[in-house]
Amino acid sequence: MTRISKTALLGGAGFGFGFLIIFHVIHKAYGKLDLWGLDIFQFLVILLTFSGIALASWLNEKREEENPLRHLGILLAAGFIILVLSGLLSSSSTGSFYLEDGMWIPTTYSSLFISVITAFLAGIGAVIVCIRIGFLIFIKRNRKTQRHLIFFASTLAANVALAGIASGPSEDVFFAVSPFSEILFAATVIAILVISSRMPWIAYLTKQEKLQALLLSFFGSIFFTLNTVFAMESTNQLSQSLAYLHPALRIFVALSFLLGAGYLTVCFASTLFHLPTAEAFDRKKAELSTMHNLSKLVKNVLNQDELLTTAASLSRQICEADGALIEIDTHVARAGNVENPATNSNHPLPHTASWSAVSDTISKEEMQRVVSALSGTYAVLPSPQNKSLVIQNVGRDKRMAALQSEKLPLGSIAAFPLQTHDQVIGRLYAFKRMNYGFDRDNLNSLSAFADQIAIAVENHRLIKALMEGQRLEQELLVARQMQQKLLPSTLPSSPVFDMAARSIPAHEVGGDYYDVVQINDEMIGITVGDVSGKSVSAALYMAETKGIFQSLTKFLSDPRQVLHRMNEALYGTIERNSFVSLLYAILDTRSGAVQFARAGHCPLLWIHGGEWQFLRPNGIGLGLDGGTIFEETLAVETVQLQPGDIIIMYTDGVSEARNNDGEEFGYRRLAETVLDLQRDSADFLLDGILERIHDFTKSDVIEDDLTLLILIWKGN
Amino acid sequence: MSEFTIDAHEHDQIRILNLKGYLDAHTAPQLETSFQKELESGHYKLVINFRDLNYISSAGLGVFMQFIEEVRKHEGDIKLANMSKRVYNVFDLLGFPVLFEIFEDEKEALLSFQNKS
Repeated sequence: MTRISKTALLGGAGFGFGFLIIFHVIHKAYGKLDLWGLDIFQFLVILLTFSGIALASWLNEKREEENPLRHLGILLAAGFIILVLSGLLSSSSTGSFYLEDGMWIPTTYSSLFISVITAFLAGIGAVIVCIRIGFLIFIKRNRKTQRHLIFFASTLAANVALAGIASGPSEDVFFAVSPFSEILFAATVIAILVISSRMPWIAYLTKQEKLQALLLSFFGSIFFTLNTVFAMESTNQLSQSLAYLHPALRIFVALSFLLGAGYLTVCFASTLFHLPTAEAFDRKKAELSTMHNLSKLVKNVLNQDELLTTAASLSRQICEADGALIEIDTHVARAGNVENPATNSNHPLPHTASWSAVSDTISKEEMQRVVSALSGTYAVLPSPQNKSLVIQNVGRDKRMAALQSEKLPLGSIAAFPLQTHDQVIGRLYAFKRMNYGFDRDNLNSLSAFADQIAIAVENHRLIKALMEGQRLEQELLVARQMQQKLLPSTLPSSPVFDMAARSIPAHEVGGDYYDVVQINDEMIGITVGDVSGKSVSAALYMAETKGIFQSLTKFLSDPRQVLHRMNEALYGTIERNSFVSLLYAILDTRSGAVQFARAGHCPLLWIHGGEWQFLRPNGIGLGLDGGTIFEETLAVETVQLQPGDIIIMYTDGVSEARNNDGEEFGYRRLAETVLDLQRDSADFLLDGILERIHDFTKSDVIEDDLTLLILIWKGN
Repeated sequence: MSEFTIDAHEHDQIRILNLKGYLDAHTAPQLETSFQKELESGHYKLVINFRDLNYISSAGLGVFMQFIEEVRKHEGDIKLANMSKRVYNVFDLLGFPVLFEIFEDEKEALLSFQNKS
């Protein structure tokens, strides 16, 4: 869309230019045409032609890039080209106009063409001047700048319009036409001064850019001053050519060049005044941007190494140091006392701290050695009492005596503590090759920066701790849910026996397991086991144990066979430091005979009449031995239950439940507790035992998983 | 809460590890590291003295299982000595006496190494 309109605009301008040439040729050949409205028409053509060019050139510029130097460069180029053109014009065809009836007429057709083309190009130059200065004014604009611009544009337009309406190209265009023109001209000059009074963009240039701007505006102002003079001076060829093409054009060009000259002169002066503070401004700007970067850094706290590297490189930028190093103490207790790093930092750095160093010219090792020397040899390390450490002359400073013989490439060092809540968590060091490299500004910025870094590091630690905690919680939750799902939801019930079981997981979730399977119409398989390990791994091994148990008991009715096969299966898969202890019993519901084997598990408690007995056939834990030892040691025992007999299977969470004195609940207490309680209902008995254990430990916190399975034989 | 320390020394090319305190899931990694160090330095004849050990959990037992295979592969052994009754019961329940040699005191354990070689 804009491309089409631009093409149309330029095409129209070309057409207008063609018309102007033809008009002038006709004029020269046949004298002034006496047509009504011709003057106005000619004025309109020239107005539209240059408006078209101006619009096209305005549209052409990408407004996003606000680069003042680019605009200044274009201004300079335009000024130079116009100067050369007017120079060529004067040297090639002196005296090529003659006056006739108060009008300039070119002597030959060639001079006609040359002067018309030159005037046209000068007109384009004037358009460029207006537009570029317009762009410059629009940088950092506010409501006032817009008003100033409108003021200038309207005075310019008024000048041009006056010249256009009152036309009839004359010898002395400016001052002879009308008294108004003098007032208007003065108004335009004021507008130029007003516009030039505000150049906020200069302040934002870097020192380098300011030097460039100074050069550009210096030559630019000279060129445009000359151009303005040439365009106004009625004896000059350029002035004559412009007036010949149209007096209004001459006014426009002259005023535009005046704007250029005025603006660039003020620009030069302004830049010159800004130059001494350029460096300070540069630094403040750099500080601001590094502060800005750091605030971004604070958000990115997941990777401490990255955080430190970025912080070190920003610290280096902020004070133009040759190197920077950030050291974070890893030995500082989370909520503990402030440890004085100086007292125990004789170790090499990496053991006591994580650190990150950035430099092109100083090696990391050198920086590290300096830091070690500072922290190890002297108690001068920054701490809350000792805010900062500044060594301005490394070669002479007593504190650096230990390293002076080594001729380190260092002149000055500044160090700041990184502290949060009065706790020093590390230090920021900056290094410069020159002596007295750190001025007060540098030190202030570094100090502020050190606080920012401390906050970032602290945030990183907090978030990490939080995440780790959440992860563990999540893991425990998963493990607990798994464990609960692996336990049977219902137990078989029968008139001949009463069964109850419960497993209470500890906070850290071990691998307690119990299961009951109906082997056939008469046989019921009962198991209680304990998988070593904690949390998810215990839960996984428990799931595996259950799978193996469930599948083996379907086709094996001998406890010895079941355990032997389980051992084989588990030994092949679980880790060497893990194992499973398990008790497996098969109850014959017709006879009340219980056949059982023990794989390294707590003995079976048999209550028989008023007597108790722990039955402990030989057998080692599952997953301990892959050879023949397991099978060789495994023994099977059988008990014949009488009505009222009870067997109790449990895990070590029961027998090893401890009270505050470290005393264990123990086997004997368990047996005596059972005898002490009502033994009609398995459920009640279970509750009773758990209550007694709780009374014993006097603690609601269970240290280890605790599982109890009770079978009361009623008999047939 | 759970304090656990290991003190190692050497006697006639046999490494003796004195365990002290509570050996449970939290302190087991410490023992693991000690074993790793011994194995890395080529020590495969090890005597573990339990005289000062107050408590051992199943995670503690697991550590011995973890290394016994490699130790025996290198003609070495882990022999256990000076267990309190309480600690011995834990080993015994799981069936360790058939897997490890357990001695009344350290000297016997050392002697049994010498008789073998």
